[in-house]
Amino acid sequence: MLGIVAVNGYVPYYRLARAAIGDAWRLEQAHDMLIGERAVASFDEDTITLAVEATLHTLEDRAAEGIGALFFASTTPVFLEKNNAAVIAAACDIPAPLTLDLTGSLRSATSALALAFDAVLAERTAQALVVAADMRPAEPGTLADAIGGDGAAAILVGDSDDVLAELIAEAHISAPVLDTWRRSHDRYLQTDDEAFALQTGYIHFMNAVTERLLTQGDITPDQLAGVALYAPDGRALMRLARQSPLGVPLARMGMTSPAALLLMQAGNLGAAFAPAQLALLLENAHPGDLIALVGYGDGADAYLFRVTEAIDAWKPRRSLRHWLERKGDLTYTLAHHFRENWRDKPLWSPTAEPWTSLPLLHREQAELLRFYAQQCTSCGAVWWPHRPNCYDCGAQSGFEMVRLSRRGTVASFVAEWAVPTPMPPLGMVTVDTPEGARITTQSTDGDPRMFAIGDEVEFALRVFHTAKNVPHYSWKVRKV
Amino acid sequence: MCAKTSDALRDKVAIIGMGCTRFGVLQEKSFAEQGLEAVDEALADAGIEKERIEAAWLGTFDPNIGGSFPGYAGDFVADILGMPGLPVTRVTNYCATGMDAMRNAAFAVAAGMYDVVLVLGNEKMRDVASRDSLIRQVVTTGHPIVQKGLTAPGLFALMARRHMEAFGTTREDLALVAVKNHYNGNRHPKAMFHKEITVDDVLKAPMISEPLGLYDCTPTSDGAAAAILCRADLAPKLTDEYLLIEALEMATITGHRYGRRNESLIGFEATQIAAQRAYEVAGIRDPLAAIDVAEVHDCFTITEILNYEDLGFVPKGQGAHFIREGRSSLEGDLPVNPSGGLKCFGHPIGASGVRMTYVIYEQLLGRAGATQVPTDHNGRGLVHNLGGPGSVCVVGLYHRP
Repeated sequence: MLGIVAVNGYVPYYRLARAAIGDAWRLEQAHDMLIGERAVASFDEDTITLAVEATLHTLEDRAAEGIGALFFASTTPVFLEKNNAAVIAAACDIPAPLTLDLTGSLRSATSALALAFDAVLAERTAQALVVAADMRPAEPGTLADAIGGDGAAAILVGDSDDVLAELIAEAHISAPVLDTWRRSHDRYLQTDDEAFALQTGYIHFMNAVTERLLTQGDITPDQLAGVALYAPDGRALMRLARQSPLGVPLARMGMTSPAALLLMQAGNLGAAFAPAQLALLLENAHPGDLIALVGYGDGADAYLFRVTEAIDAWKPRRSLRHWLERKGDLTYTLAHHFRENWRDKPLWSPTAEPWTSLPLLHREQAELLRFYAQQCTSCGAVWWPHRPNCYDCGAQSGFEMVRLSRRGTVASFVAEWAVPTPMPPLGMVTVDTPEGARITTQSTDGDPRMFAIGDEVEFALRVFHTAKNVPHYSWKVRKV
Repeated sequence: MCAKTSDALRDKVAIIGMGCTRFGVLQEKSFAEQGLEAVDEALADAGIEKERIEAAWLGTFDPNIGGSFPGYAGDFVADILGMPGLPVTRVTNYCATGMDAMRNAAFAVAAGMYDVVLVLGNEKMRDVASRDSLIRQVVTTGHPIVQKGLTAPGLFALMARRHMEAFGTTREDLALVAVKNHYNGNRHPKAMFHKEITVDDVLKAPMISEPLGLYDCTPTSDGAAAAILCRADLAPKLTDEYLLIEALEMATITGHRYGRRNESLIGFEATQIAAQRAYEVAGIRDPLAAIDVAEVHDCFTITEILNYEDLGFVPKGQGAHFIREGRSSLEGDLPVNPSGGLKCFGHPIGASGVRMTYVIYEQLLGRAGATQVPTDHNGRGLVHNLGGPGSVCVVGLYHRP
């Protein structure tokens, strides 16, 4: 049975009230849109770290050996040249030989899904992963900046008896539309005639692809239990509900539709928006439910899924709802600062670039990125990063690399006020892992003074800083 | 642990002269000028001409903190003394640099290689803003990921937190160390700060590496200190008053303490080993009774409390009692840091170990003025110099002949 094996989403810890953006920019005419809050990536997050979060929370304890292809979908990839998906796969310890970035389109993720299904059907791989992450690059002060949100979602597909939702039908349309665009040297989103973009672009192609999907699946709109779909904003979503066959399930769900919920609590997540809604839908789905996934961008992609019996046994340890509820407030000033000023220089004083060595980062990739540690087979001591000997027993050989579980407990911690960081104080935490390693690293997402010795913490991939124009990824800790 | 100690050094080497600049922000003096000032004072104190110096050891941690190239190598000493041909070794070993320079110079004399040698500890950290010295190094040097962001005070704050958790040590206890050291330093003419402080001052000061605040931390400073060492049998012929080096014992452990699961983080193993070796050489069973005065490495207030324990003045966990009960004050049964310590005297890294020796030299020769403590009981003083993340330690014992 071809379908979805697992799905989950992630939004960053920090939220910004849209009213604060409206106040800062006097966006009074759009007051009806400036409700709720948007998710804001912290200064140490980017689309690679967001994608890693979504992937890890999707895979949980699943073996990654069967995942032969990983597709990263984003309109805002970190690297224009360099395989973002390869970094994500390494950080998630997925040994996929095929890693590919699909960028430049809001429907990168829904289109990537077709490639993922095809790869499985062609028996190129047992499973394929599509992970989408976006940080909408809207100009500060524009409505799109207020509506946009940072976040990610991942979908694991496979052909097995235990899929959560079976693929029933699909439809695709490709057609260039001048609604939003960004040339390679444009820093921000470009738009022009919004009414044209909405009606001639969005509404038209969403309807066209939906009609094809319903025909392919031989169902009527009222049979749809739920729909996950791209929507530029709340106004567009409401217009679609009035003018589209998708209006039937949307009207039934009302404000509890995942699109409305995410818009209110996180924002338009770009390429990750529709996949994230799919995660929310499946959390509350029942066997037999028919669910549509519709992506948009220079045409549209649509999929019809039937939820299987396996859904009853599926419960993510921490679902997207968990990440929506876990949050901390941010001022507009800091959110703006993260986005505009710290993008390339997170953490440190602009006058002092951190020392780095690219051979060193490569030599220690297993530890710093894949998060393995060295275990001494003579005495059992675990060291991170690797070292030429075991300091405890003196052995100089007989070492094994062990995968760290990304969990641990606080052995001690300090709040560093003298280190220049955008959100002082910088937390430095000594963590003992269940595998026996001790790692002293930075904390993230919240004030480090909230830690206590013995607290349970988890590791999260973050950008430590940028040096030699290279973002340095490794693992920080946060409270569970 | 390898426990080998040797009598090869004991009482073979004398300290016949010492000098020390005022410590502080010495913007009017160059690295060379402050170094030469300490050497000249030491020569004058010993009553010898510079030509008697046969070799020298220079202790500097990182001259580039102050933007200086001189000081990276021994040629700097030949240069400021105007002595072509002088053999000079540069020593660098974290904050234990000064005492390690003393140790290596003493070895050369004990080995019979030279009769009279010079030790110079010199550091200039304040040709830049204080934040641009050690804090900047957290950014510009070191592993790009591992422990990135952990400052010097941060290393010790992690231990403070553990000690507080394990033994109930409080921020007030830490504050008492700073209050005592400022009281003492205010009475020493060469100390960086001449200001007494209260527990309240310490508790209300800005946080640096929480739970350590500004007054829990040593400052960054400029300064130099120098010692003239000679063969013990030669010392009475050159001067009337001198000290004998009883022991200079060193221990290093892994610098990766904060990545080692078997590390308690409530004590300094390097101090424990170095002290045990020094006590063994000197035949000391009860350090509290056998030592009259001590200069210990109080880079942070918690460090002094840990030192009380690791040097064997009190059992592990009772360091806070030692300060609470006033036992380390000028009137206590073992005065610790009568100079004001690193906290108040200042801490130009490579100079500190030699400066601590200078203070013990003053004390044992009865020259310590307002900070003088009684030294009649044993005529013996201890110097403890700790470096890095607590991974390098030298413990020295000096006594009157």
